[in-house]
Amino acid sequence: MSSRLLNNTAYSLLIIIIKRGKGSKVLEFVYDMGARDASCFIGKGTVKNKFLQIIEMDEVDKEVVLIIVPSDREAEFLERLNIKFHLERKNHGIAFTIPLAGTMKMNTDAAIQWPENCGSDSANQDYTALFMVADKGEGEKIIQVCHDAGYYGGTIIKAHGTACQSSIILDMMVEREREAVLMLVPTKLADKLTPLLGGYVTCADFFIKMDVSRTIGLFQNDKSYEVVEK
Amino acid sequence: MNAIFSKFKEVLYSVLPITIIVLVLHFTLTPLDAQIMIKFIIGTVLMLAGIPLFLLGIDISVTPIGERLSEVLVKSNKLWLILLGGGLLGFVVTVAEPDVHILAGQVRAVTNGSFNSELMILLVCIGIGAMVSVGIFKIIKNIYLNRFMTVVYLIILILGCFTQSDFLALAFDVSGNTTGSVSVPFILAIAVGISSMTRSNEKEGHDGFGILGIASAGAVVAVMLQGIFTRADLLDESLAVSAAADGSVLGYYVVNMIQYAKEALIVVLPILVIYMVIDLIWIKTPAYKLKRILVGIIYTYIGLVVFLMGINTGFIDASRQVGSQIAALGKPWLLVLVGMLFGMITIPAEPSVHVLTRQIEDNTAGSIKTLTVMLALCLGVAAAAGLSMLRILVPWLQLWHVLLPGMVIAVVLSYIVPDIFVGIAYDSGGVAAGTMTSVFVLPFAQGAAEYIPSASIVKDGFGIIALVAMTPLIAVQLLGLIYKLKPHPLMIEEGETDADMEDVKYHE
Repeated sequence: MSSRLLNNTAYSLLIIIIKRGKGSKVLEFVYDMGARDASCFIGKGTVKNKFLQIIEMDEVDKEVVLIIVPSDREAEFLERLNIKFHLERKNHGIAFTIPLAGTMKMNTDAAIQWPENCGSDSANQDYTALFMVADKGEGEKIIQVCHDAGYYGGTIIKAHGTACQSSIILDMMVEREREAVLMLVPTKLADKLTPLLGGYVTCADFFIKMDVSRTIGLFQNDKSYEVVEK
Repeated sequence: MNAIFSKFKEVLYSVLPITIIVLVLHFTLTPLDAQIMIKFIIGTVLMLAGIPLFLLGIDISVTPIGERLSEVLVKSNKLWLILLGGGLLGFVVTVAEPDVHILAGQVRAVTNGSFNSELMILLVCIGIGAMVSVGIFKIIKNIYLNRFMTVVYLIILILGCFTQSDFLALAFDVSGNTTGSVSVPFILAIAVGISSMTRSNEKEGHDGFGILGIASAGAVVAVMLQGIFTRADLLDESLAVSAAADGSVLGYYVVNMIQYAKEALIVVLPILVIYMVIDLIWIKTPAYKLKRILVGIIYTYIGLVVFLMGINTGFIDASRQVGSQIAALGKPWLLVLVGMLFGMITIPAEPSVHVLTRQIEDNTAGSIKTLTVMLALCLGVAAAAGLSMLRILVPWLQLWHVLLPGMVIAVVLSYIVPDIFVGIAYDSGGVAAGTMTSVFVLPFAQGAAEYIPSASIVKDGFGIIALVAMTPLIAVQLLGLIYKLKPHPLMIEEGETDADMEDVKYHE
């Protein structure tokens, strides 16, 4: 059994959103650092640039890498990823961590002790991660709604299937095509976006907010935080 | 680092090999005329400007249009409507494809009008429309592609026994040519759209791949049938080589631009009109999305005009001259070698290949990488170009000597390799034999054939596209075989046992 290996460390989910094609390199890099639970999927991201939006060139291909890391090594991971992939430079990608209440690697004691044992001592209250899943095509709408509310940005990931309703086409049960949207927004804005987005959420959709402990590579200037009341 | 810039970088890497190799040949073996060289350089620059814009336009307009239309069809929930609609869309985009008309013109010239080329266009388009329809049926009913294609190839084989060898070559050439720069992304988007709409727990979502192979087979059957019933002969006369326009260089480009502007309009307009009509009635796209699609269509159009102009003015003459000069050197092995090299470097520059690899990456969540597929395609087409050169050099080597074993291998492999690779393989056949092949590999072969007494430009010229469309089937499936036999290094590492975990730094 592997349980003897488990200690009381808590784990965090490290999410990196990076240019398409770099994902595999990130995976290899974190593997060398000792992370074993990691996966990469592809998504579409947005660039905040008025001119590019007008000429419809504001979309970029991104890859989203999820890595489970021990909370006490969070900072080390972020730092070394930053050195390797230059996340501190503009448009080179972003990375953030989310404290996890449990993973298969944590033993029961560790889960009970959470969040005291969580290494994310420097909990970052400035940002909140929003994660929404909706029907295909809604992802752009969600980003558009946030854009109207003063925040621009987000990554759309392909998904499929619901637990709520399934459609029947030509006498076949088919899964719906879905889209997931991952956004990292300033906390004070997130509170205002929540009711706005709530209006778009149907029973089959889901919408969660997650605390973020550390972030790197974010370049929203303060002016863009101001919420435009509709 | 925005969309157009990253596309530009991608295209730059793809076009560089062609430029470098032609330049190297120019300074070593085959000094080209100054005028041809200048046009080649201008052509390269136009290509660099055109393809990124075109690809971006496809990304934000043609692909979404195809997906949206397939959504409308599927939501109608009537099988006959889906099949009819899909077939009609396939028919319309093929009619609009300029390559089909160019080829028809060539056929008219070499058969002295005894072969009804208008009828051929009509039959080919009906064939493709019908096969797109059948392909959609295959997707919905979840029929395995390998069994499906085995049946289709058997039909082709039986028809092939009754067809003259010249028409055999012509039929396969037409099939390679009909899947052009705009119809590829459009038909692919429709198939992939329908496929992912009808995804369920019994069925994978990426069986939309393979539709281009199926559609191409429709064209083959159509031309073969016409060949059997008309019994026209191909005349052995030289193709009229388009005379270089006299007068100023600027005038030359203006004339060409007007011509390609017209051609590209015929290609793009039907798709836009169909979409707008259906949008008004059923979809009612929100304004911001509609704007995106319109802007995308404009990008596609401008990109296509610039790209067509670049390759048609700059590449044909350069490649033809390299071909004849290499042949004049009297070293057969060199001709085969350079032919293979040309085949290899054509593939990365072909826009349709980028469209296909992108769809693959999107639909396999990035697990099949662009570069890997492209490498397989390059090797496949290099083999095809090499074999074509051999056919020019060795008179007794007939097209079917290569085509038949190739297809048998492809069909056998399709029962061994993972399904997704079978689909990709059949698609890449149609994709590889695109515009770039006709302006780069074909003129090279024709140039070489001019110098070799035993070769005929017409007979050896036809059949090259057929080979280019066939070898990727084998190459990509072999890639699939490699994937199957040898898991990716990262996959092995993920499968580590508990014992290995003790070494992991986490648990020290």
